[in-house]
Amino acid sequence: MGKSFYLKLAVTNLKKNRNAYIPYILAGMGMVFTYVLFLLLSEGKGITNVVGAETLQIMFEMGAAVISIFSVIFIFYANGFLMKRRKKEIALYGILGLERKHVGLVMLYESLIAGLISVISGMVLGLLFGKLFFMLLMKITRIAEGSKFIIDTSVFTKTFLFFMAVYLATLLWNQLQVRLSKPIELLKGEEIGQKEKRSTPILAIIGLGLLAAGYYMALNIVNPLAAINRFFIAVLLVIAGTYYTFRAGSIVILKLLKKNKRYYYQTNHFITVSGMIHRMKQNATGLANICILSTMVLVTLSTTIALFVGQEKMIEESNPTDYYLNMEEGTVSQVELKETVYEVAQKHNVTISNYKDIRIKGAIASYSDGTMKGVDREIMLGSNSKYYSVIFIPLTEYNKLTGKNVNLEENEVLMSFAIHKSTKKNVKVLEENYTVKGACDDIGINMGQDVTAYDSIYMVFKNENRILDIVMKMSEEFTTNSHDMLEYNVYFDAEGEYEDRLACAGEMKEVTYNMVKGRYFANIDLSKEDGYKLFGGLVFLGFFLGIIFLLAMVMIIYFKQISEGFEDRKRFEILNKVGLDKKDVKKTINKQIIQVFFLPLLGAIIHVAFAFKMITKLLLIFNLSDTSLIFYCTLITIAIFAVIYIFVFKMTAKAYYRIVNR
Amino acid sequence: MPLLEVNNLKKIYTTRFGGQQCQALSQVNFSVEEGEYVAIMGASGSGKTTLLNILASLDKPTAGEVRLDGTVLSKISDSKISAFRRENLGFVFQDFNLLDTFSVKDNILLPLVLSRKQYKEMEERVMPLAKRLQIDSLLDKFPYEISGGQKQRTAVARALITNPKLILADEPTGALDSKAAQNLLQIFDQINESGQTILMVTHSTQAASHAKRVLFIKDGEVYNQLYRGNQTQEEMFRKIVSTLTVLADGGVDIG
Repeated sequence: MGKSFYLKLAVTNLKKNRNAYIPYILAGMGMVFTYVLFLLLSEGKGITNVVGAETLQIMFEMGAAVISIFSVIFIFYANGFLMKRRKKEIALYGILGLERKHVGLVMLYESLIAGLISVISGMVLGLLFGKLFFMLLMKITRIAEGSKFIIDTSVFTKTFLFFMAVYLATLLWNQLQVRLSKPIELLKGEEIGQKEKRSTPILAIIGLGLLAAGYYMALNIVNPLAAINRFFIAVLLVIAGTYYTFRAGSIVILKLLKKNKRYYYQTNHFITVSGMIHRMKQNATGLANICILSTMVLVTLSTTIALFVGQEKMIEESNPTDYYLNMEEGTVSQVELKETVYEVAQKHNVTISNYKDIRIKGAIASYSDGTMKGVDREIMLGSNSKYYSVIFIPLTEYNKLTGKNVNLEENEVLMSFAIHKSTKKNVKVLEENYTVKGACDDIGINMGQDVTAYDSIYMVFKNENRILDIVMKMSEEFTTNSHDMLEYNVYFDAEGEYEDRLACAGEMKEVTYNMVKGRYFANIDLSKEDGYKLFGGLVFLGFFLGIIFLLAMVMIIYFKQISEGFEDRKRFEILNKVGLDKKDVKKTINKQIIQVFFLPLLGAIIHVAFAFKMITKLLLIFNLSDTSLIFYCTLITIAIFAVIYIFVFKMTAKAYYRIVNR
Repeated sequence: MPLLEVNNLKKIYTTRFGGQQCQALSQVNFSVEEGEYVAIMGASGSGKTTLLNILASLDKPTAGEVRLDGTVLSKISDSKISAFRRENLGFVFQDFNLLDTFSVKDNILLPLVLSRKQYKEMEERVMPLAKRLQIDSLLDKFPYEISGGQKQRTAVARALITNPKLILADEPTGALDSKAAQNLLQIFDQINESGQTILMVTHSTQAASHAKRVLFIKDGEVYNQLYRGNQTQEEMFRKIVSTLTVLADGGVDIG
């Protein structure tokens, strides 16, 4: 027999198993495409000459790394499914007299064909649609024209080598399995691994306990900084809880249903409940995987979309004035700085307005019931602590800004809150009592709000040294920096053409740096430009990763249902013989698939609902405080996700029904 | 009027494109009275399975008719055929056809659940039946935990629980060892004595020798039949063997 015989056999095999191989190839193609795209974006030279592009490229490099790890896991997983189904067939070849090396040859051809189709078509897609997605990315991140899409051949070589290596590794794995097993064992391959597992209610209780703990943590977070640490612990708790709950909890519930004789001994409950018990024992882990993947997709997509949509508002909120400069008092001449600012602005045809400067001192403190104290690290990162950002203003500065002539004694202060209006008659600052003589909310400078803080407090003191003293004591825990100087802040707005403003901001940044090395500089237009790249890149990346995760999940579900269909065919044949109507068969199948399918989706939605508060807190760190925006983004993401999910469900149910009813 | 009447039954299978025709049954006539125990014997390819499928209303004849208690099977509409099968026929298969997802008890109750009976009624029926078939101690076990003989007795219980007019058994001892087979045949004798009509298709002379009448099928026709009458089982056995030998001269393989 010539070599071409084995090739023909391989091709026939692929065709015969197309309902498994087509999805396998399509998923592989999707991963290759995404990998190529990310590599082209991260290694291409087309966008390197833009400010902020480096962040973007690093992001895509990381994206490509994620994809490559995920592809390896996924391709092995899917391959395992394929092999499990085909063990019988392979054993039959052995029994019919094909030598092992010939079976190996057929498998080699199969892997090569499936792998080559996936890799080449994925790369062709990358070639065809790469430019489209590149332009889309440029549009989202508002990178100016001049960037070019460059097709780097080394990217394609790299992709080809990487994915072919993965496919060959799966081939070696398969060969090893065939070599290590006897035909008789292979014949039974499909039935192995279906042993009953005992489940105990204790495991279910542990699972629910873990879930409850995770949820409790997620719900009881007030402080955004604490959310970062807590997030990971909560995620781990919820993941572990999901596995236990799916594994044990579902069976406990089903067994309870079974105990309820009236419920259980009804036609469709009877078949579904017993089928589900059987199924959950085998598939609980798979379903838990799907649930966790879905949750990841939903959280990734909804947060990146929320960040992308909310970025302008976010940046405007954190930059209440167009420019903000902060430096230590005395490091620069106030007059000289102002003159320089106007000079630079004039050069770029930009008009400066609302130029305001003030000497203040800021600190972080806890405040309750008229008592203000310094905070330590524990309070800063504690999940339930509320802390305030306090701005201390010397009386002279206050009078200068407002044009008033207020007089304060040493133990008198003016005090206002930025959001909450709850001033008291007396206030105790670090063990010393002060009388609140009035409010100070008329300084006319919008300093913005430190979003991670609960609120801002403005306080006017008579004595500058007293301010320095208080701040020094309050900050002891944090820094060893000397606090012997006030800060000097400058705020102003700028008007002009966008391009001019951008150029002006760029020069302003440089000039001020040359004047004072340690100055802090913020400009709304520059922040926006950075934001477009950061959030645009994030949303692009999140979207692709989301789609890849979704693709993988869909495949897992599809393979699961298909292999179950073959298993269930016999069951339904028997049921039919014993007298189950065709109509009832369809009803029962639908009910069963719906439950298996929608359990993970339901679980994911519940997870997201409980995580929502924590997500809003985390996004606060990015200065995104618009809860309703986050809510709508999450809602829309879930809706789109559910639509795709339902579509997959319909397709799968159809394939399953075809198999069972053959 | 006989319980089961089979008149001029004919079944022709056609290949998918209508080219080749294959005649499985050419002309089958026989009837079964209530309370009878009939065995049908025949070589592989003689049309036994086709006949049984038609009797079970799983397949439709090309010509002729099957009447069960006066009802023509092929005239029952598709939507009612499952219910009809459930209420009038009980099946015992060679490979048991028990569902692994159900306990022994649930397997037995399956036809009743499909008929939407009250749980109380199910409970009342299952215990006496299980005792009769000596599986009352196994009710909470699963099919993969019990022996072949016990599985087949479970299947018999499932067939009997609806009090069907006719039990159709397809090679019921085929997958059992000789001891379990003997035990099952005794059970068949018992249930037949209590008035249950049984129609069994088999290869096994031993199984057939338990029946009150044996029909021999060859080339899609009833070729011969033997009545047991007052003979003992051993005498019947010998008679069947000699008939099969005669048939074998015409090329019949006695299996």
